[in-house]
Amino acid sequence: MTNVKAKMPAYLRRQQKTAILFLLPNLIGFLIFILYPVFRAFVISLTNWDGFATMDFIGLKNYMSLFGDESFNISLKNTLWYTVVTVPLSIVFGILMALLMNIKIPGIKVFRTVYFLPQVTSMIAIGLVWSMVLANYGPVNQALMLFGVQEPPKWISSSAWALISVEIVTIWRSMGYNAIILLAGLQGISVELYEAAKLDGADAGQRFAYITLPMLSPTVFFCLVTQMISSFKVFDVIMAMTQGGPGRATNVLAYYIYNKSFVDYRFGYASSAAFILFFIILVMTLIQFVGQKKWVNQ
Amino acid sequence: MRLKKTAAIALSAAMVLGLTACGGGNTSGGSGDSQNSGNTGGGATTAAAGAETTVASKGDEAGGGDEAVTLNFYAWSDEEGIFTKLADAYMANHPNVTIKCQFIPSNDYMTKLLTAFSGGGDIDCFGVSSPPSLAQVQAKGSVMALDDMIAANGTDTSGYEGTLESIAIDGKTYALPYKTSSWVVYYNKDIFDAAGVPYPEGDWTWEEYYDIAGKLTSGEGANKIYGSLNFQPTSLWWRVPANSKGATNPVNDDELHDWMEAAQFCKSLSDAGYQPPYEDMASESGADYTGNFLQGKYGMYFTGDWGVEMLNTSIANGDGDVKYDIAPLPHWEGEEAATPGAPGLLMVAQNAKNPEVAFDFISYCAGAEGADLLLDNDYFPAWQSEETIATYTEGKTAPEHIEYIVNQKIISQVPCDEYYNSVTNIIKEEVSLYLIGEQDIETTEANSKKRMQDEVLNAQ
Repeated sequence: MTNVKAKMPAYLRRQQKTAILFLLPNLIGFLIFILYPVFRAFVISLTNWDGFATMDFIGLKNYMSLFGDESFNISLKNTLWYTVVTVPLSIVFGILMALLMNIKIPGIKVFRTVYFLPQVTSMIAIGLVWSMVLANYGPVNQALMLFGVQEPPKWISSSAWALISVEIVTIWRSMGYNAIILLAGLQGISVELYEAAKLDGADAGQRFAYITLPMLSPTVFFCLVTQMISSFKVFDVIMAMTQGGPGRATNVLAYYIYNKSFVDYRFGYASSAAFILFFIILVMTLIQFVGQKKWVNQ
Repeated sequence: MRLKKTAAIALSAAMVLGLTACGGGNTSGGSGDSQNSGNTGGGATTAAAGAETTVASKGDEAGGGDEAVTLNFYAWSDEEGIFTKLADAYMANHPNVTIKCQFIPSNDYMTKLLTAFSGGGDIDCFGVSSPPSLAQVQAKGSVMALDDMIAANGTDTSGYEGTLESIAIDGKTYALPYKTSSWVVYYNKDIFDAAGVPYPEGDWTWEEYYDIAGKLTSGEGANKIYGSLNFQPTSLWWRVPANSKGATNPVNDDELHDWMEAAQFCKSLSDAGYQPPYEDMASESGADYTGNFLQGKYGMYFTGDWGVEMLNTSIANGDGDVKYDIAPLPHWEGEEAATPGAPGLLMVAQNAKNPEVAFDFISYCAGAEGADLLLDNDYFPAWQSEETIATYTEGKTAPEHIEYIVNQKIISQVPCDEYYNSVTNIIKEEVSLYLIGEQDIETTEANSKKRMQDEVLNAQ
C-alpha cells in the first residue's frame, strides 16, 4: 500500500487531500454519532446500567444470562423465522413486479408510484389499516367465508397466525421498494443483449434466465443485503400491529431490546442483546459478501 | 479490485453499524454519577438550602417584585387542559413566574420523562399518573424529598388525609397528590329500561353484575347489544374486580391468584356472550369503548371517574347520545365494598433549577385553591374536604348519581413498587393467551409466577 502511495504523482496526492477534506464532515458525523455510541453501547453491555445511577462492571454476565432467557430465545427465533420468510419473498415479488412495471404501456408511471406508496406511508397508518383488514370479521375473512372457508384464521389474535400476518404486511410493504430498485437494474440492461439472443433463437424463458437474471444479480444482491438488515431490526410493524402479542408470538429482537431498556430500564442487559443482534447482522452480511462471488455478475 | 472489495466490506460493516446503533441505546453516562450523589444525603441538603431561599423570597414577595423565574413543568397529554389552566391561574398571581408546560403523549410519557432525566434534562417539576411511576423516578434519584420544604413553608397537608402516608417511600414524602380517581360502573338507562331491569343502586356484587349483564344482552350480529365490557386490548382493565378486593400487587402469590380469578370472571362474561370475545377486540388497537358505549352497544362498562368527562364531552359534541348513569363498583360476595383509586402526583425534580418556586407551584395545584379549579373542570381533586365533596356533586345533573364517584371507600389501586410495570407486562402477555383461549388458567398462573421471578425479580 505504501508502495502505491510513494509512486503516486504529486498532483494526485494533493487531490487525495482535497478528497479527505470533502469527506471529513461526513466522517466526523459518523465517528461522533454512530461509532462512538456503538462503542459506548458495548461498554454498557458489560455493566448493569439502569439508565440512571447504578453502573457496575459485571463482565460477560449479561451475555451469559441472555442464553438462558426464554423471552430472548423466543424473540431470536421469531426474528430468524421472520427474516427467512420475508426477505426471499419480498425480493421474488419485487422482481415479478419490476418485470411488469418494465412493460411500456401508457400510464405505467402511475403504477410505479402506486406500488412505491407503502414505502413512504407511515407504519402506524399501515398497521391500523391492516389490523382492520385482518380483523376477525374484517374484509379478508368475510371474503374467505364467502369462498366457503368455515373457520378463517384469527390473523392477529392467535399465536399461530400473528407472525404470518406481520410477514404478509412486511412483504406487501417492501416489495414495491425492491421493485423500483430492481426496475432501475432492469432498465440498465442493454437491449442489444436481448436482440443478439433473439437472433440466436433464445425464447423468453431463456432470455430471462440467461440474460435478465445474471445482469440483474448485482441489484438483487443490494436488495438482499438491505432487506436482510432491515428485517433483523424489524420493530415498527410489530409495534403498530401486535405489540409482540398474543403472548410472545410476535416478539422480535428489536422489540425485546426496546422492552428491556425502556420498560424495565435494564440498559446494560438490553445493550448486550443489541450487540448479539449486531453480530448476527454483521456475520450474515459478511457471509453474503463472500457468497456473492458465486452468483453475482461482477 | 482487491481494494474495492475491502472498501465494500468496510462500507457494509459501516452500514450495519449505522443501522444497529439505534438498538444500542444512546448514552450520556456521565450524568449518572452526579445524580447518584444527589440522591444520598446531598438531596436533603439541597432541599434544606432551597427552603431557606424560599423563606427569604417570601419576604421579597410581600414587598412585591421578585426576580423573573422560568419553570419547566412536564406532564402527559391527557392533562394538558387542566395544567394549562392551573399554570395560567398561578402565573396570574405570580407575574414574575413563567411556567413552560411540556405535554408528552400518554403512552410514551414515562419513557420520555426518565430518558430526559438520564440525559440531565431541564425539568423543575412534573406529574406522574400513579405511585409505581413515583417509585420508579425515586429509585433513579430524580425526585426531591419535600418534607423540609413542607415544614419550612408550613404547607397545609390536612386535605390529603391518608394519601400522603400511602405514597411515602422510606418515611419520606416525595410527591403531593393533586387528583385521585375511583372506579364506577357506567350504564345505559335505555338498555336497562328495554330489558326491564331495575337500575343498579348502592351495594351490589360481581355475581349480580354478571347476572344483569346476561339480562341486558340481546340481538345478533351487527345489532348485538352486549351487557358488559370490562377489557380492552393491550390494557389490564380486566383486573379491576381483583383490585376491588385489595389485590393490587401480583408479585404476591395470593394477590396474583385474585388477578387470575378476575381474568376468569372476564372470560366467563365473554364465553357466555355477555361481552365481545377478547380475540375479536385484540386486533382493534385502542378500541374506542366510550364511542361504542355512546352508540348503545353496551349495557354496562366500568371505568374511572374520568369517564364522566369523556362521556359528557362527547355528548356535548354530538358524538352519540345515550341516557347514562353511574353505580358504585360491585364487590365480591363476602367482601367489603371498595373502589380502587390511583392518585395523580406532582413532584419537584432532584436537579430542579428553582426547587422552591417549583414546590410553590405544585403545592398550589395540589392544595385547596387548585382543588377548586380541578373541580370546575370535572376533576376529582385529591384535596378532600366537606367543601370539595359538596362542590363536586353540586349542580351536576349528568350523571344523576355523581356522588358515587366521591362517596365510595377508595383503596390504592397500584402499589408503590418500581417493578410493577415490568411484572404487569408479563402478566398482560400471559393472560392475553388465556383470554384468547390458547392457555388454561393454571398454566397462566404458573407461567406468570415463574416469569416474574426469572425476568424481573431475580434478574436485576
